Amino acid sequence: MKILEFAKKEKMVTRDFPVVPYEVTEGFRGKPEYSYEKCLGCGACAVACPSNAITVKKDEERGLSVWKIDYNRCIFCGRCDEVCPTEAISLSKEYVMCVLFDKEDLTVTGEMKLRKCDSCSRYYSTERLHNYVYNKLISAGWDKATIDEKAKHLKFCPDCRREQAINNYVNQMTKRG
Amino acid sequence: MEKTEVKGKKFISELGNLFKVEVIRHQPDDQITILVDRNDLPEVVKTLYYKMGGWLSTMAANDEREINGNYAVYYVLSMEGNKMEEGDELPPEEKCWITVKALIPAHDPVYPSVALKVPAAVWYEREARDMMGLVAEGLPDQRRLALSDDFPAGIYPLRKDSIDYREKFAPYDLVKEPDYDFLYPEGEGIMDVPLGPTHITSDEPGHFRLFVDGETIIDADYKLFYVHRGIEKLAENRLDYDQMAFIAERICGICGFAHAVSCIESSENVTGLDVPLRARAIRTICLETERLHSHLLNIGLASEFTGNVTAFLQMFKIREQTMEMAQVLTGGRKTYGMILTGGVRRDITDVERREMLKYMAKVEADFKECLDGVIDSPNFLKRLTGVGVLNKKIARDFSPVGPNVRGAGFNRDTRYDHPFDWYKNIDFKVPVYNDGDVLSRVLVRAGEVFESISIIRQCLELLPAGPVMVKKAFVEPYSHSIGYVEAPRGEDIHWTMHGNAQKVHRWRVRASTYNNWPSLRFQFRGNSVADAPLIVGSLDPCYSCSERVTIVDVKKQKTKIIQMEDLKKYAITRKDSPLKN
Repeated sequence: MKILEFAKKEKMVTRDFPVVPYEVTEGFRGKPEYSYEKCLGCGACAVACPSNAITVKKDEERGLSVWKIDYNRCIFCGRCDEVCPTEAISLSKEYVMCVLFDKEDLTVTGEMKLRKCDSCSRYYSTERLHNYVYNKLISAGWDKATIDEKAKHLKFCPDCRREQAINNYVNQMTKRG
Repeated sequence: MEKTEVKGKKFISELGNLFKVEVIRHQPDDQITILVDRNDLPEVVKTLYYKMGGWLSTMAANDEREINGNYAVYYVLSMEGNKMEEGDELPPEEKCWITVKALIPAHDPVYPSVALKVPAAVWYEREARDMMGLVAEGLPDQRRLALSDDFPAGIYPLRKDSIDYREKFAPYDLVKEPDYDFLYPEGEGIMDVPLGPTHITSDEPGHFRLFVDGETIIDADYKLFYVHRGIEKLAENRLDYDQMAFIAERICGICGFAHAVSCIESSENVTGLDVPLRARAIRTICLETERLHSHLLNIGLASEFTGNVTAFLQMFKIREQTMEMAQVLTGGRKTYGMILTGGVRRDITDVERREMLKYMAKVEADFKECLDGVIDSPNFLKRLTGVGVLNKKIARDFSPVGPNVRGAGFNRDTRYDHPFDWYKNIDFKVPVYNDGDVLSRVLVRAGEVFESISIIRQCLELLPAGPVMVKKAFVEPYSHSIGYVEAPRGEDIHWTMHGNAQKVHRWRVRASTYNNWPSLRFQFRGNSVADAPLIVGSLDPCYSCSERVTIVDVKKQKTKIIQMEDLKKYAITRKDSPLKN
């Protein structure tokens, strides 16, 4: 009977859940929210995601980079939030994930224009990422000549850049004799 | 360091007098790996187990053909002393882990069975046969353990060359699935009561066959592993260490954090990574929070099975506070997503610390009062006393873990025997009860709830300052070690061998309940059918409700299906046996 006395002490603790939402605490890790405007398409989140909920794929035909999160796979760990350079993805306090009939409603997609390499004209990065890095260079406060010199490398894909670097090195060596 | 050098050396030199042993690895300080001839294997393990006071913690079969052309088996023994009576245990500085390794040539994958000498090895050897195709010569139980009965013969999933991921298997006709070969006892008038196969009282689907004479269970047999997910294979050479923590958490719905810590520490131990003290303390706090909500659930369920639903709901009310505590601590209602190699991902702020302390005070006061109410009920005591007794000798043979073994009078606790994380700096008791029945196990859990609260308090008060994460170190290819944690259900061991490319080569997960299943058979014997759910429940496998129970009368060739509701009702009221007619 002691248990009944204990039970009587506190009034009802059951909440009227869907009507009265459950209050989460400060620092709750909820559903990651995506902001298309801020996203660069760098793919850091896709690398960090342990459950492969976030994917970044190249659509060569349309010249687009397709960013996609699948909330069915998401485990709310927040690794994407940690690595995102522009806070384009950040955890919210949202935790209810119900959809009617269509699983596709639990995905969010963002498409960004890809940029072609100036040398081999293959897609290698998004326009946004290129512009972001370029703006960062400008904000570093160098004079125009230095910025142009450095920005030259941005216009090439990693393969071409590597090739150029090797060529430059070989040229220097041969000049020296 | 001088002192740690001696650790385990004593056993090795004693063994060296009897057998040909070679120490091949001594990293970290308390883990020694010895190589023995495969023919000496049973005797070496037996000597370590019974003469020197070892307990079998895990066994891993490994495919090492790309390293040295052989398969290998690793028997991991926790050296703690026999513990049969009080004081019969090793001094703390001698406690260590000894891994016995034996190479098995690829052309002749046979080794002598250890299970004949040390019964605790029986499940491990059956699994090694399923997964790696290594045959334990002389093993009495040659049935499959982990693989399903209709799995094609000759495919051993954990061999490196077994399955091409691109291959798609044709869907299999389930009607063809052969019957599992249960061990039927012989005798007149024995009934066969299957519990399962999809659920009994546990979340993990398991098929139990209870052989009853009237109302009394005379023997039991069970088939589990219906939900084997192949996580070990998934991780091999595919996931990196950061991803592994997150998948390890998904092994269990309740003690997920324990698995994550165990998995991550097995890779930290191999490099001797110096994890910051603050991170260790936070890990300890999370582990104890997990223990709190797990034990509160189990004590609640023990009341529910005896018909005290009020107590169950009150326990859940208290448990809700521990879940909220986890939310303050980690940002999720479970202690998930906290750990990475090198530390933890989230620090505790001072506000959170104070909030935690507030929760602790409330949980402690409420639990004390509620437990009084539960224990006060004579019905509860009567139903739990003397039920599902784990004999001390059987316990010694089968190396059970957790509250199951502590309820049988052994003070086996990984936190106490092999202090990991921050348990060295903390003062706590190990509650031990001697009766071995369901009541003892409930009381052990109740005692541990108070200990957990005290441990969390000490951690929060003594929380060291400093960083919570360090950079991870380079892991040497093909080195191996274990990570060990005391999960709410007992010792939880992960054995990992690391491959090249900084990914894992072989990951052997041994969840706590794995060591408790083999001795369950003996716990069933002599009890009534109505107590079966209670006994399974007292091991604390994760619960759910059972769909149905089929009763087979062997003599009359009749089958009767009982709804779970009926059996549950019978377990509560013990009137109107569903076995009649």
